[in-house]
Amino acid sequence: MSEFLLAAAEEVVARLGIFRPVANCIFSILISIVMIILVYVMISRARRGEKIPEIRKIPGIEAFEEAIGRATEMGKPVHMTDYSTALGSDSTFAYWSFLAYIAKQCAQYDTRFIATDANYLVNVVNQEIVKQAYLEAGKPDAYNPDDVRFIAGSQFAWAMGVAGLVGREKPAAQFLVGYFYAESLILAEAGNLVGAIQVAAASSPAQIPFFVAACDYTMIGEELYAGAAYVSRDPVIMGTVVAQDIVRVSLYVIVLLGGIVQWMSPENNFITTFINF
Amino acid sequence: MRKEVPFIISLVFAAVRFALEAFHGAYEYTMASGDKLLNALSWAMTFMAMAAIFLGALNLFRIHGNNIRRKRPHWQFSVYLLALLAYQSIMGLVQSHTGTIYLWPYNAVYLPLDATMFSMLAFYIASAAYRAFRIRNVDAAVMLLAAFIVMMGNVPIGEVIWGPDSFLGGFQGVKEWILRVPNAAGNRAITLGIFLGVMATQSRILLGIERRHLGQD
Repeated sequence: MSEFLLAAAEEVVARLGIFRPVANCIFSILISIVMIILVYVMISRARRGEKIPEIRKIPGIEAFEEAIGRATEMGKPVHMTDYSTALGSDSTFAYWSFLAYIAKQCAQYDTRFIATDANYLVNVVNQEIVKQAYLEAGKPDAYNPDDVRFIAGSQFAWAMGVAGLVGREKPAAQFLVGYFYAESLILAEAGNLVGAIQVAAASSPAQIPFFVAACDYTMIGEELYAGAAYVSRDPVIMGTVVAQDIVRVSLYVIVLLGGIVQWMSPENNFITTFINF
Repeated sequence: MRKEVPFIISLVFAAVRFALEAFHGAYEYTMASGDKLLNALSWAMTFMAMAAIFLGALNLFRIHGNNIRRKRPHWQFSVYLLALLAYQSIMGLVQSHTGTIYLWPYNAVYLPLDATMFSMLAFYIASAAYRAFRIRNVDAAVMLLAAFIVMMGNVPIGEVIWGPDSFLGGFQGVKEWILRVPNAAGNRAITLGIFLGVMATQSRILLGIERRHLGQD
């Protein structure tokens, strides 16, 4: 007991004099700085018209136009939803890119677009984004604020509200974009019951198998963020995807080297020490 | 200015938050009141959310009041909503959040409904699994096989058919290998990708490139 009390009373010493003494602190800061610099460099290069590496094709993105086209041909609406946890959530920012893209496409084709969400603050931004998309498509009068709906803040109240709406409105295409929890399958099955073509882009690893099982196309994990840049068709934004890929390859190299060093000298794995620093 | 001011505010607060998380001195910084600066910022966020809820409640009364006054379609639901909102607000003020009358609608109505909706997931899982496990190609066949082994490793009958003391540790041994090796590897790759995507998105917001959320020009 006294050992615990002594340990608790011991003064916490900062790492290198300034950093917090928690595992991975310095490595995380390093990766963050590298990422910010890379994003800035790649975007600057794109702005100057210099060559940046091509980004990979994302099959799910191709499905967006196909799904909207199908809804247009059938004269049925397009529905999009997310279970955004907060206004500042990363997946919400990615969701907004898709929202702007899909709303604009629907406005151009005169297809009704319905967006639902579970956060009252996010809903205000959604209204603004969809309104702007209709404006950009040259059809501001076609924008209907009642089609950008806040359903409920509670998880299953929202899920059942959305499932009910899908059952009544019978959309021909449904997009499930963002971070989802246990309600993922309820939404996907509701879309499936009305015969909607479904595209999911989820950043929650636990829900990806459900979307793979129930949807026609699924964008996995990081494709949600890369896809958000891809749909904008903006080379400046695409620079971030290139930066992302460079850091990914670097991290894979570190993981590979870490594995080799661990195999050769488990007691002196300097790569693990570096990562934990 | 409509976009610049929110961007500058978000940049400053992102820098402050980063410093609080990364630097020992900033993390431990205590204000004159005795509160940590980090906790004070969290409180500020809570207060802002409370103000937003207050505005939201006012807006709700305005919109649904109009629905009732103009007898719009389904206006009866607006009456129901406003009545419940008033009931919960008044009971919350009178009884506090632990009062039995205040908690009754939550415990007796909301919770059973919520549990009912959640339980419907079992039926949805069955219908989705049926579609997913139809063998259409090699990938679906591999998934079916893996799912079958994991399922058998979790149920008692699996232990009877191929027990843990037999070759490869039976269904349970193979299940554990599937979860620990190929499944964990795939999951970590996805998680790493998500982490990079999040960082790239944050960098875009921090550098002011992502401004869609700030509205139209």
